[in-house]
Amino acid sequence: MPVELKHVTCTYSPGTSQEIRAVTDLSLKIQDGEFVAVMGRTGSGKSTLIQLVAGLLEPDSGQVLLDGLDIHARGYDRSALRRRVGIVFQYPEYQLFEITVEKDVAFGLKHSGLKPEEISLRVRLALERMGFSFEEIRKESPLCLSGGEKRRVAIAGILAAHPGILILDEPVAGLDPLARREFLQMIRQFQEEGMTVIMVSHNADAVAEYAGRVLVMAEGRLEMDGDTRTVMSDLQRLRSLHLDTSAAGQAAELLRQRGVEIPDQTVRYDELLGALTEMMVKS
Amino acid sequence: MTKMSYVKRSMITAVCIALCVVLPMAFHSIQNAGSIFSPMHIPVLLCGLICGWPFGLLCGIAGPVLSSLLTSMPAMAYLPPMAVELAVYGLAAGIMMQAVHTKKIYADLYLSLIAAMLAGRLVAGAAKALIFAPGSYSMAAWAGSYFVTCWPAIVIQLALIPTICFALEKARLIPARYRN
Amino acid sequence: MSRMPAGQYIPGRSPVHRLDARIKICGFLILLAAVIGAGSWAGYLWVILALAAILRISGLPLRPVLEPFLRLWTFFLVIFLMNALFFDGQGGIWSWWIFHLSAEGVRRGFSVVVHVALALVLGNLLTCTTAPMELMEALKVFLRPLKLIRVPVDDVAMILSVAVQFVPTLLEEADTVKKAQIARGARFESKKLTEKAASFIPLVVPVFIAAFRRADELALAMEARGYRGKRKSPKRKSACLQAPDITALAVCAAVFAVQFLLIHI
Repeated sequence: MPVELKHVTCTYSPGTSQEIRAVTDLSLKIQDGEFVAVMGRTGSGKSTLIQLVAGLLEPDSGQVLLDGLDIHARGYDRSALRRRVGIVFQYPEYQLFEITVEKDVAFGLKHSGLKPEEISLRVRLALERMGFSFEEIRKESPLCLSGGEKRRVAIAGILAAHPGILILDEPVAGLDPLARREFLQMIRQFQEEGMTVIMVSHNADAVAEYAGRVLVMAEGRLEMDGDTRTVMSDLQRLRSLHLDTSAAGQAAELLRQRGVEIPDQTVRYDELLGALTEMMVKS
Repeated sequence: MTKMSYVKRSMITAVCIALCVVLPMAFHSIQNAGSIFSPMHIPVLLCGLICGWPFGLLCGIAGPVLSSLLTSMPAMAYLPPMAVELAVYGLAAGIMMQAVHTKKIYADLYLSLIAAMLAGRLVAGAAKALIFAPGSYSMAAWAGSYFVTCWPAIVIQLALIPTICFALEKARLIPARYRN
Repeated sequence: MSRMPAGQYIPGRSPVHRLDARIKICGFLILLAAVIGAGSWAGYLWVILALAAILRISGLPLRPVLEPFLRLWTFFLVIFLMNALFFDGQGGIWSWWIFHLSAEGVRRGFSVVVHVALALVLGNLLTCTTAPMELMEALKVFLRPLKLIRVPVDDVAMILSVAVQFVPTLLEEADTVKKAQIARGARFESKKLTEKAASFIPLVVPVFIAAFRRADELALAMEARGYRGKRKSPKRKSACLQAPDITALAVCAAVFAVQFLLIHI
């Protein structure tokens, strides 16, 4: 299910003095199975972009197409859209409300028309996927869990709908380094199984490591769009947009300035390590 | 639920007042939500139940006034009777919660809620008849506006408020009333 | 979905914006009395002219101030019909079952609608030209006499200003919760009352938990810094009133005086 935005403009508070153009004339296409990272400063239009893709905001002009169909056209099946596009907001644990974990994860499937057995199977699989033992956790209150557990339950609630496109807004904010790596590896696994992943992140290392393509937003426009290597190695431009660059990219730049020959477009930690080891072996 | 400190109850009251402004704004895009479930009643009743009557009273007065000042909902003309109604909700909910101890949390909550909702409606009706619109206000108009047109709101509030209390207790944000 | 509700502060530098908030509240109350007192064509015309003049001076865009009419037209229609059809007046035009259309009722319905509409515009004028914190400061001044009946005014003022500061944060959180639940497939269109009640739980419970969590964090931070309540807040000198403030008050009084004369002639 490719997603396509065609000349999309979206404004907040139209017609008042506080009118804000959130995104202006935005066009882009995301193919099936991509891992796309979205970077940009606060207020650059990143969250507007992902909410447009999820169908939570309606553009003032332009179209949002899913599978070539306009999702805001009359007669478009909105509830099918909800099941196909899952969105994990920042701090997803804040959306928990049910009495038991099992009920909370099943909430999104209530109106799906699936059989009860199918629903409970999906709930079990989603929870196990997030590293829980289903029998142990099902009767717990989601509000009594620890912070990390709550977040995993909330994400299970989104995965249970089997979305084809998963959108994540700053998913690793507030996680410790180990949890962050585990989480991102799990997301990569989803992508390898065929899911399209769109991830908003400030964390340049995570972006360089995991994404296949990077979109950079600035002032409501798409400033850069390309494969991770090309975008993340353009340190100058990223800095001029006040964005973080990956630690490996910075180290490579410093080494190059000191005359060490590091290949261009080195942005990942393992690449840098590889290049350095190779040099050591040669000398 | 009287184990909370003065500062904590003050801050809970502050967020409940803020919710009196926020809930109607947040839900006005959902069709008829505002007219159906009277969102401002919920934080006021909760504040009275959880923090006690002085705080409930403050929330009941300040909530609608602040909402009116910041968003012009409710319109100033409707503000006085509404503030009276909500103030009595907060006050009565707090007093009842102190007075009633049945050893069952749900029984306490429902008794206090129903008493508060009745008291608020009675006082607001009396205030309207005697002060705000003397002469032109009839028993039928009172019953109509406070029971018939808003009975869905009553049902929804009776369902929602104990659920919220239970969830807050689970999340350890308010102390449990009875140990079990 | 992305529209701001009407009646929120719109920054500006007009004479109306720059007035002292205390004066604006006083002026608002005086003009409200003039609006409520209006009872004749001349009276309506007079307050409408006065409001139009203030609107012009304030330099506000028309839309946010007048939007309540568009949004609430069904509501106005209902009040009008309620008054027109159920008023037991003389001069019945048409009667059927419990409905009783009378000339008196129509007049009454019209006057109620005009009063409410004008009061709405007046309220919007106040809230669109005054920043929330200024309104709070002004309110604090008006609360001072309550000290005489042993109300802890300083604590009340502290609670109120915390509440005002929480509004934008909580609004954003409520909006995110709403979007997150809609994205998960929440529905609100059910006709059955019990289902309708249940459909609000996914929205309301997380919003309250988020709000109470904020209250908890703030209370901890305040207690850690030694705040125990019932403290004396430093006396802040309130600004002196300027000439424009006095003039504005005089103008409002004049508007009311003319209205008063119109009623009694």
